[in-house]
Amino acid sequence: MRLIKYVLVVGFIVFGFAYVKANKTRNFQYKAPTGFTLEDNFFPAFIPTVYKHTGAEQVTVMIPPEVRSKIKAPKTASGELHPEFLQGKRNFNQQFGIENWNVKEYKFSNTNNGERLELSGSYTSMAGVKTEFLEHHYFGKSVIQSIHMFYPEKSVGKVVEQAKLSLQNFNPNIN
Amino acid sequence: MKSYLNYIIAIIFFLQTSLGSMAFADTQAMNKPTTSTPTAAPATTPAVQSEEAAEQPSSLSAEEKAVQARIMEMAKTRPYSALLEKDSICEGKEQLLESFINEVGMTDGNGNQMFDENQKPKTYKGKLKEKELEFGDRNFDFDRLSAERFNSKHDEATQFCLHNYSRMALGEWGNYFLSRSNEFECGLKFGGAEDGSLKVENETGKKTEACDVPYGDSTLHDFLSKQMTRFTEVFNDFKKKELEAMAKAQGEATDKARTEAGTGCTGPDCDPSSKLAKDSQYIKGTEERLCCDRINNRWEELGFTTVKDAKPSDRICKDMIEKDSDTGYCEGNFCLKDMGNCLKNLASTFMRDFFSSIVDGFNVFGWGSQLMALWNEVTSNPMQAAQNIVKSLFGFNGDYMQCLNRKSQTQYVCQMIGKFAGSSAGFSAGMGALLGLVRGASLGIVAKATKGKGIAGYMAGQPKGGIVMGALKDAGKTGARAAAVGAVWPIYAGRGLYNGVKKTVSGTWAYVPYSLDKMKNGVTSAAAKASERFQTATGRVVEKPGAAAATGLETTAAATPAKAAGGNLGKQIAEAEKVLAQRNADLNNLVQFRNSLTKGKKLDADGKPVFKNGTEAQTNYQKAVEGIKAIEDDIAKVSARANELKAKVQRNSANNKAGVLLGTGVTSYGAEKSQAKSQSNKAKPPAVKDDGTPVATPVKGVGTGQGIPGAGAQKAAPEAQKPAGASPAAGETPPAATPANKPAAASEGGDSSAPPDE
Repeated sequence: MRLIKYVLVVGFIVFGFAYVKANKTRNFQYKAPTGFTLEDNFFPAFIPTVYKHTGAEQVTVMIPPEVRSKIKAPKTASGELHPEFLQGKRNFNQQFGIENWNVKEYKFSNTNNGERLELSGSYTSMAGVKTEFLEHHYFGKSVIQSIHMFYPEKSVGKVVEQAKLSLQNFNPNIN
Repeated sequence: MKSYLNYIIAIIFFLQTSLGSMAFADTQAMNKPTTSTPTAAPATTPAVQSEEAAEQPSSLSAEEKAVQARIMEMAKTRPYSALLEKDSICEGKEQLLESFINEVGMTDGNGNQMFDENQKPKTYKGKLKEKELEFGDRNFDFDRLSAERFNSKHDEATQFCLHNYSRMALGEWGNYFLSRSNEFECGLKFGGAEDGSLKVENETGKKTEACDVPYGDSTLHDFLSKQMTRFTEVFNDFKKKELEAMAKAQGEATDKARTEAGTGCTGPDCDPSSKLAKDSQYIKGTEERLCCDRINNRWEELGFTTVKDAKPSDRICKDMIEKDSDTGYCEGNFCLKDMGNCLKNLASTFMRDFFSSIVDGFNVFGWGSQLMALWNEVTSNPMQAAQNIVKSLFGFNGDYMQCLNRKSQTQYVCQMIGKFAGSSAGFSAGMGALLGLVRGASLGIVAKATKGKGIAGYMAGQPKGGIVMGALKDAGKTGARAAAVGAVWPIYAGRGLYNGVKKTVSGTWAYVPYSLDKMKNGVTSAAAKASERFQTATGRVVEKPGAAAATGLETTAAATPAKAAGGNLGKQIAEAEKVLAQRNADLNNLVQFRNSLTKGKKLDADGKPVFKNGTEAQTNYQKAVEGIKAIEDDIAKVSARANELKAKVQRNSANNKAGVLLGTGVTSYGAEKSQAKSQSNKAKPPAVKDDGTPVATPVKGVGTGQGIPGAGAQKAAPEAQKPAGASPAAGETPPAATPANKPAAASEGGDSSAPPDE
């Protein structure tokens, strides 16, 4: 009986810590365009915040939890995208079966929230659909905050453009 | 008829399983650590066979299993001989296999043809049963091998034989090039192209001047690059043909089954006693048996049971694969949702660990940033994602999924993921020290030896399925078993429960064939578990090169003898010795304690002290004696393992030495000198002849018979670089001029071969 009490008390404390940690308030500010709905997320500390468009465009915007890191933007001395960054992505794709992943464009720029890396490209989804992606990564002093967008290649038009624009208005608020 | 059908199905199954792993060859090669050094063929080839063996239906008799075990054991030290061994797949085909080995010209340190005293070109032909552990010793005619391998005129047995032989030959040469590239710091490695084929890649910053030594009419780097490119062509051609052959075999078998079973024997006019009806039932029965065998083999690993050695009964198996019984469960999109939740659990596990870590490298951040793509996939396309993940992450091909009905597919994936996610302690150990979680605390060696790379190592490119499969296996073998099965990361457990996951779980537990005997097998003492974990951990690093299974291309650094000798193996030995020292100290303490209890006591006839019954001294004495025995047993086990590891280091060092010696032009420039240099296992500066002329180290060719342009043997060597042993008189034809009788591989392509030890 005593053991059960101890287990319950310890369990409660551990769960409390985990719950508080998982529900830590996020700092970013993002306003999704019209037609996007915010999906339930009880644990934004390690589950991305997801906005999905309800229409046929199937546009998804994801804001993952911030990453604790002091690394700078993955840039070589000559200003190119660092190959190690890409290699990490390739390794992941290889391990999880994400195929034909390609970067079309990338751009580094300075913002009030540190250096920003914009990345765009495409991959073949597991359902065999060519999917476009956009990533914005903000490299702050001690954290990295990102925002991602995915949509099928066939999806074009206002919804996609508005979503892209909304990424530009994303405020990671990390500094 | 039955035996014939069995044979056909067995062939298809064999091709599927073997090619299924070969299909991963490119990506595994891509992951290959480029720090590899020459290693022994058995480090890879037995793994190929053992993986294949593991996939075979468990219909072998005890005698056949013994034969298989004997051949596989032999393959560790004599891979080619094992192929030709009695009862092996190439028995009696030595002459055929030998015929694929080219006789090629021997070259000096610059890749120039060597000549004997009579100015005749020196040639060399590797043997199957000689120097079997040396990469690149046999110069294969891959074009002819390919033609014969896929020659439909050959019977199935010959095709099997040539299939395995081809893979061993490709593995030998793939490893050879990688080891050369590493040895001379050429920065060349094999990677995967977008279309899934193998390609040559340059590693940024890895190439040094050591690879710029002149070779033939160019540099060693160029030569090796061309050779490796040619190798990828050969490899990709093999792979393409294998896939075509597999597709063809599958199509033929399906047609045959349809024809023989008769499609018209299902209606009311069908006579159940007719041959057609019987054949139809037989084929169905055979398919079911194959499916059951496949599931059987991985029943525990898949997470369907916690009980060691438990297997599904025929009824359960039928229920899992019978499409007719797949009703009332997957109504609407229930399975889809369920599967989606399971996948979310999996992705959550990765995200939890990633976002809880401190990211300290671009590759790690790049890896983690792709988690969003995974999340997008598991939420958008759960079923496809499940199939893909099962294949990509857990290393199981589609055969298992195809066997199962939709209901079981959900359980299959969910249980496997649940086991994986639930055993997060195991996974966290894989993620490494950053998280500070270490599995197997009773023997810290386990975590260090198996998962020492940590999160960066994992994310920076563990082979497919490698660490995950390891974690799964560990979960099945260690005390995490009970906690792992059925447990899922709780984020979606509540939601899943709401949607009916309870049904899934209860359904799964219904499959567990409870049996006291089997339960008993599943329970072992903590000490034995610790010992098992230790042996599993240390054994896996060396004996199961993981990704190497696909093609024989060595893909794990741990499987590299030289590295292992100085790296993982060395660490394991050091750790084992540390444990030994600790246990010896414990033993001494306990012996002293025992002796202190015997002081002043009378001894009986056996020399044991006599205590009064029931006294504390008697109890302590007994405990001390038992403890001493337990520690002595423990020491014996760890000591045996340490000795085994040391023996491996010695053996690997010897193999490594032989591999490095290969092709260093020892004949002309002093074997001892070259040998001594070779053993340094570092990139070497160009060798220097007696007259001070720099001499490159030769790299042998693929030996396709077509040749690669630019090899040194084609070029008339400058007089200053003529081999010392060739020294023709002034005015004579330069020694490197291609002689008319030179073998095709050497004369056309400049493929050179290593000189035999002289």
